[in-house]
Amino acid sequence: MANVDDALILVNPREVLEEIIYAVPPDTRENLTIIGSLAVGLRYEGQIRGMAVRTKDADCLLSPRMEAVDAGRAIAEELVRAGWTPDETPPWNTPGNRHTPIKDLPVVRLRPPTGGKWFMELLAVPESAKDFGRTFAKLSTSIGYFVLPSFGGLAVTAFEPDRWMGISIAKPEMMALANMLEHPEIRPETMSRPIHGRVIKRSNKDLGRVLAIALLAEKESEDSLLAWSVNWRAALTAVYPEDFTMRAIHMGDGIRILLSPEHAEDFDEAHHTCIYGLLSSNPPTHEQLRLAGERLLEDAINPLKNYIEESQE
Amino acid sequence: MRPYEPDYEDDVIIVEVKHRLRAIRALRAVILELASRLTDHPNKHAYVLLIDSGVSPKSLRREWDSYRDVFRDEISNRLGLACYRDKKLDLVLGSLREMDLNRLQEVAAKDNRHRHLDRLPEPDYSGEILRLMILLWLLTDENASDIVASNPLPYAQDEPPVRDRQGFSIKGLEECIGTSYRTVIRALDTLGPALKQYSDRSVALTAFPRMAWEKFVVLADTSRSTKYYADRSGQPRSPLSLMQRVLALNRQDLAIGGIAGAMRIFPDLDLIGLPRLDLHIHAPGSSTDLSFIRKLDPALKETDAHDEKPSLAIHFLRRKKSYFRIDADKRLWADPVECLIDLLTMRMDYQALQFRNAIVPKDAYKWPT
Repeated sequence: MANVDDALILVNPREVLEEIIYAVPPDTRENLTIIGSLAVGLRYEGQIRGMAVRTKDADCLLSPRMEAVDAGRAIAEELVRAGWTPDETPPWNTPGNRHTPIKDLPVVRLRPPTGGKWFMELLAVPESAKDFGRTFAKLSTSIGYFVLPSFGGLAVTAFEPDRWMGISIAKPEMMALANMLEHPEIRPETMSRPIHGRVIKRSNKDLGRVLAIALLAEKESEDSLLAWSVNWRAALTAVYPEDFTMRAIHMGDGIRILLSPEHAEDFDEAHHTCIYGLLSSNPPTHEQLRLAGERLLEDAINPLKNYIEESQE
Repeated sequence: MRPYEPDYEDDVIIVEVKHRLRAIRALRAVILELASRLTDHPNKHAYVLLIDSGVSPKSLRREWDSYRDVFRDEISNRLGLACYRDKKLDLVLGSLREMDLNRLQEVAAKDNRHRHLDRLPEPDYSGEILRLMILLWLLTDENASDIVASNPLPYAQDEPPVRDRQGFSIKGLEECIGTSYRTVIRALDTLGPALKQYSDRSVALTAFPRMAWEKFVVLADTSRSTKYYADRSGQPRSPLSLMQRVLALNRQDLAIGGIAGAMRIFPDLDLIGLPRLDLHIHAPGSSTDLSFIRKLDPALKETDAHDEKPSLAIHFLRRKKSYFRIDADKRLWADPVECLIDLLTMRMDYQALQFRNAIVPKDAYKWPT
């Protein structure tokens, strides 16, 4: 039986992000975009009881690509100098050397010296819009070699982010879009660690995140999802000018599958990750989460798909 | 006459879709059209696709067999019929090529999704006539308040009939309602002493028909086949948000009524905010498309629970002419008679009284003597 606390812990997004901002070299803040739970938590902190979210990491995206490796190195060096230590869980606790194949190098996961149980993880925007798979850039530091991972959908999270205390915070709809682009289907790969005692498919966790963001956005403003399809169109056009149409038409496929009656088990996993993750302070019922997904389809996903199909006719 | 256009045609098949077929004679016309088209396309197969057919399989088989001797083999070997129900093809007659099976499934699934129609009960023509006559009275009678007649908004389509004789001709009323002379006469009989028949056989209300009206209001939900929808998400959308979404639907048969509609006519109505949205669907036929409700909000589900507060009420206007008004934003508005009934069925007694007094002067709202 897995430990129920094995993956996620309660953190206050504002406190964690302030700690990161003060720790990184000031000239790298321009390169930093916060994505993931903390970005969502900060955006909707008014709705989150105790202003704390359940997460394990602070995902920091480095952009633009040309500066990502240098900025990543500068951040890692500065944090290590300040007493941050690699996550103790193998393989992230052992940096590689110059001979280590890139596929065996760990990503940068550093824990703060203040005793926080979370870690900061560094990622980079993809080199090209065509890099839709997972790619890695080697990162040499004084304590060894790491990699900066990239995956295709991440590029949209750096599109027109919000600004907060000198760094960028990804917009909620762009994080939702990135997750949908990453999962046009439900794949069998599971998360490396269980979430509240349950092994979860990565697709279900990420698509569940999309539903959670949609639910929080709706709660903030009942018509907020209507603007998403317009913002998505702008982001997809800017980031994927060559295959914008294909991406826009298929981006909602994973959500449609997740909501279909045939995938009730997958939906249950997605619900599980929400109620023990982002939405733990106000957990929705299955029906409420499903309806949040259906509203997302009607207000944002279908309008963009219809727009593309109509403009093709 | 327009040339025949099938519902679906590609390089290999031609498909004509019929929803909820009720009469076998409608099938005959389709078969003839398809057979004629096949003579021009010697390499194609043609199919009639019946979605949720109301004709029994036995009748369909008998009808289909009767065509065997009518067409040449060269045609009948390329002609088929398929029934689609519950998302699958459940009866196939005539010739069906294996390679066309998936295509037919696709056509059916797509068509079913886009043209999902909801059947409506038989119209209550008495109720339709009563409401129309009151509307005409509000628009033309000197005892009615001029607030209705002076409404500056134009009509979206047809204008109401004018009093071209002493009153309104029965023929004109038949056209407004879309029913027979006999039905109109029978319905007019229920209006009591408020109705005057003139020497030229035209008719008009000379007073507000209070007795018939109050009887109608009690049964208004049934007469107008009203459906109520309540939120199931725990995060209900406001009626104002739903109203904005109605505009985006760009439907020509959907008008806003209820409080919003009443306030459009009488802005001094004593109310802040909208407790629910009332929509009026112009549905003169036997069915209508309610798929738009999902677009307004998929969390809205039909309810008949009296202890539940609905966010949306849908009423069906069954007469042939809607007399909806249209504003500069292309939004359609239901007439004041419908709006008043909406307020009454919402149990907003004070506002209903205020609105009724605005459109029907107090001394005109009296019992017949």
